[in-house]
Amino acid sequence: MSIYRVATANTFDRTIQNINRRQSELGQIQEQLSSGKRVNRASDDAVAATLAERAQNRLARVQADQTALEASKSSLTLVEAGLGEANDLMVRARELVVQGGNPVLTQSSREDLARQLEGLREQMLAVANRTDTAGMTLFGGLGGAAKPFLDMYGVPTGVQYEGQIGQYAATENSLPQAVDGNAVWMRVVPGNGNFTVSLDNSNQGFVRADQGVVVNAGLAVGLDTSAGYGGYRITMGGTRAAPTFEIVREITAPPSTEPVTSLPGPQLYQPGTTIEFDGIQLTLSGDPMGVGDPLQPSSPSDPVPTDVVRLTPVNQPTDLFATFQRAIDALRYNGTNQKANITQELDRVLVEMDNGTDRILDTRGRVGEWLNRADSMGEMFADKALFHQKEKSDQEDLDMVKGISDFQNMQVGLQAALQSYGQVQKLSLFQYIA
Amino acid sequence: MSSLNIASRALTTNLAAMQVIGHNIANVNTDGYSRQNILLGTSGGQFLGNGYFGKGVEIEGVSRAYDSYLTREAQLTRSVSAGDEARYARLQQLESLFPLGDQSLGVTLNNALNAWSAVATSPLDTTARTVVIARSEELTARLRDVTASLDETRLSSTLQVQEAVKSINSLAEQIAQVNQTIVQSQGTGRSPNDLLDQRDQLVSQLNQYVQTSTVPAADGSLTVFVGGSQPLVLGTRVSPMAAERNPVDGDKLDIKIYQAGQPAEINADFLGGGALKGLVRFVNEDLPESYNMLGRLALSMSEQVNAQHRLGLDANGDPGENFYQIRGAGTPDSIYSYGADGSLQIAAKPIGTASGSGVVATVSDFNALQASDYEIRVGTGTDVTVIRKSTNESVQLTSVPDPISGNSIVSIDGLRIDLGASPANGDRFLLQPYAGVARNLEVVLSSPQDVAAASSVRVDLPATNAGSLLVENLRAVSTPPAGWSSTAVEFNSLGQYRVVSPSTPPLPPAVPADWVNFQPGQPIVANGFELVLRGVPTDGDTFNISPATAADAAQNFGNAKAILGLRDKASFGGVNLGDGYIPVFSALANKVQAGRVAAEFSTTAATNAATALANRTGVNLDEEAARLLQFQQAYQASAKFLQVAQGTFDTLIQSFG
Repeated sequence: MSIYRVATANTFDRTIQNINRRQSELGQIQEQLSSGKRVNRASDDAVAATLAERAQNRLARVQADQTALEASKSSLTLVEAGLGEANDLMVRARELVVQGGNPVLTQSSREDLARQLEGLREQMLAVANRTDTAGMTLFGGLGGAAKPFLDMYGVPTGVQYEGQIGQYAATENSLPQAVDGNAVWMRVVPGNGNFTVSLDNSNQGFVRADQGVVVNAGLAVGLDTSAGYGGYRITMGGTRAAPTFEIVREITAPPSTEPVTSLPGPQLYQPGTTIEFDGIQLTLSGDPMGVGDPLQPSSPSDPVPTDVVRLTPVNQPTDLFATFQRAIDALRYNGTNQKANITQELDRVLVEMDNGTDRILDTRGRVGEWLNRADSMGEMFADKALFHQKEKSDQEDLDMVKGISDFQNMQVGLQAALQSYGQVQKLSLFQYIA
Repeated sequence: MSSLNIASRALTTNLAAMQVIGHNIANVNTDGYSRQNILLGTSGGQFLGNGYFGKGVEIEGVSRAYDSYLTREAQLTRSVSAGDEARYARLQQLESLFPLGDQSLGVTLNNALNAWSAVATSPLDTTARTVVIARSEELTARLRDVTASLDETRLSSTLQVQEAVKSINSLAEQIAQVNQTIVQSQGTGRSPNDLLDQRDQLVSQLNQYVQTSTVPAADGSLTVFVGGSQPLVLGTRVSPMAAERNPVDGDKLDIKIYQAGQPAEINADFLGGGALKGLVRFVNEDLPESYNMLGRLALSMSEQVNAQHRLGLDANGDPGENFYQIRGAGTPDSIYSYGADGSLQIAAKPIGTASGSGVVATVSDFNALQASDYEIRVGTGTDVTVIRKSTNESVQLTSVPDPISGNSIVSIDGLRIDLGASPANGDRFLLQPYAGVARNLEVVLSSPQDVAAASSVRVDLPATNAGSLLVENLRAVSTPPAGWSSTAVEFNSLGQYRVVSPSTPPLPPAVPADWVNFQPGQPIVANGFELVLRGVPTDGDTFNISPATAADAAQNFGNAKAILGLRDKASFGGVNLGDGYIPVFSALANKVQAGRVAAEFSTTAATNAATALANRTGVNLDEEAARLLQFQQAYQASAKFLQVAQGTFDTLIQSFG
């Protein structure tokens, strides 16, 4: 009975227990070696398992983002192609309009040009209503109808935008799939942006004006619709020898006029001279006399027809389709002042068309930039995917060198345990008593 | 004559000693055997005038090597380690139900959520919509599978508990029988060593199932207590134990002991150790936590997707319905039902009979949900005590009346608990919000057309906007106030914005609203929508938000994006919904780790205690061999002495002869 006493059966039991433990440890490291993973269960290393799971989720998300990016990219490519086409259509339309301004054209050749312009307008509308392969509109803006540009006959006439105005922004990991068609086709600035110049259909003379310009907006009180003004009216008068014009401000309610203070009363008309009133510069030109009977031939004392040139304030943008329609209508115009009217209208059409082309090119540039960004985002996604893969691997994969070295260590340990067990258990007093 | 007597007694005594050694050698590998020792004494002396002459040797008895302290230590440590090992084995099995890597539930969850990305990309694509439904069905099927496996584990663990109880009762019977035999053999005045060994061994076996404490009685019987102070064996009487289903929560087990037919409940915490304790802890604590963790994931995911889905418009322009549902919800058998607005309501079960109104809980904050059951105790006045079962923490709350219904409301852990109009003092309820969710969750949508991918709100920009401020995202985040028709976000020349609603019906925020500094990318929230703008604001920029119409539905994907955005919504105490599987397995992993450490530690302690005991009471063959030689020589010497004694006697006889 002493501290040195050991029980035989217990010694066996303990040795067997130890060998079992070593074998189980060996089995564990063998599982790690064969699966290549250090973390086979969450309890092997809860922290690493958590980080690996997170990395796996991020990886799945990057893959989903990549798919979405591809879809956006193909849609944007279609948008870009559509806008390119729209630009080509504008170039052709502009040529036709310039051609239409040629005074030697006959009515039938103008009709021919008008038909061609009608065709171009149809094509433009088709481009604007284009969809991607899945049926999503390319120019619907934030959504809205399946056909964002609706050509209406009746009231109101013209193209209505049925999409949703507005543009989705590009974010760090996604791109819009559609662009705001309203900004492309429906936001054309009419005339010079402040007012439009038009001739009354009852005009008989050939007086017309350029598009004019506002040099001092503060003085242009006649354009201030909120103060009850409705623009300016220039009325021709006087005689053939001394033609005059008179500018008045129009007041909408009740309909009346008031004189322009800086240029009151009838003024002598000199074709081609720029006049300035209320901070507006405008050049009137053309013969104030008409061509038809009984005005021709006329004497110097004959009165000049009281033709009217109107300056209408601009309060909302027009659309490119309306501009096309304006050109078509002008080419088909057959009134008494046909010549002046065509020039006046086509002048304005050209300005608006240039303005519209600018808008198309602006959007095209933005889409091009997005497509560039799509490429760099694709690379970023690939980098991210690689990073998450590595992170996952770092957390849960086994360091093979360390694994094999551990395995060998444990193998040696088990061997030693077995050998010493065999040797010690051979020692027994009974072997010597025989 | 005396010499012959001495010699013959010496022979028999030494032979008996060798018999004891033989018994020791024979039982070297017998479990619970204590080494026996022969106790020798001199037969005393006889006074023969010239002195005392010894009369030889005699056997005083056979004792066993025994140490009550070490025996108890070995039993207790063995008991603790048996409990830890049983629990650890079960935990390992449980962990295998929550694998990592490609087969993990997390992958299925993310597949279901990421599938909305394809819908957000092409909402007109029926395939994308079908994939969302299919992936979500995959997820619910997976949740049901895991629950079925959990059920299987619970069933087998419960059976194992019943087996353990059976073994305890059988061992108790045997101890009672041995007690009786020992009491009967007390009359001999000798220690019944092998019976005592047998009883110690039975107690030791009993301790593997349940930790006991023992008190020896004067008559030699042993009284065995379990669970602190409940007598399992009292002399020869046995009070059987039983494991019964909890009457309120049928998934939990109550441990009882029947004394004279009367059941008394034993608090599982007082069991101390043994497989029974480990298994009961597994069934009553570990398994419910896994159920609740899984259920919380299922509930949070399904309810958040449902809520967002209801805010959207489907392909036909109709408002979205619930995407997921809990099978059987709304039937009398189910504690779940759906309210008029489509949100989930969870009824609490009364404990005993409740005299007041019923209790219904709804989710108010998904991020605050805890994977736990709750016991609700209604007190006097507005006092309510809620016991969080996972931590056994008791929280004192004061109920407040609901502004509309007037019902008493308490809130805890993101749950809004409606105690009804007349909660009665003393009523108790058990609320199990999560246990049944994963088992019954299913996708209720069948047609891809019903997937509500479109947003129910639209933003209109007047053509006068400068166009450099772009819409990054617009989504509905909650049900708009009744009568809402439009809200405008306006910008001024300083780049500040204000949110304006029409004055009829009067809706907040009305004019004059305060101008707020604008930060690109920061959400502007009002009247149920969330608008994110990016870019440079210009004076007069306006964004009009209004309810979307059916015609808007086809080309819009705002709601699909919003559901996709749920991936990043903090849902489990700050963990994103997309990472929702992490809390499930990491809580379990920590348990398994702790269980392993505990099992390793207690096994080592048990081994050490067993070794200490064995070293004191076990048989060492070398020692026995040495003793055998010792007594063999003594026997040989005794025989020689007999021969000599006989020789002297013969000599004497011959001299007369």
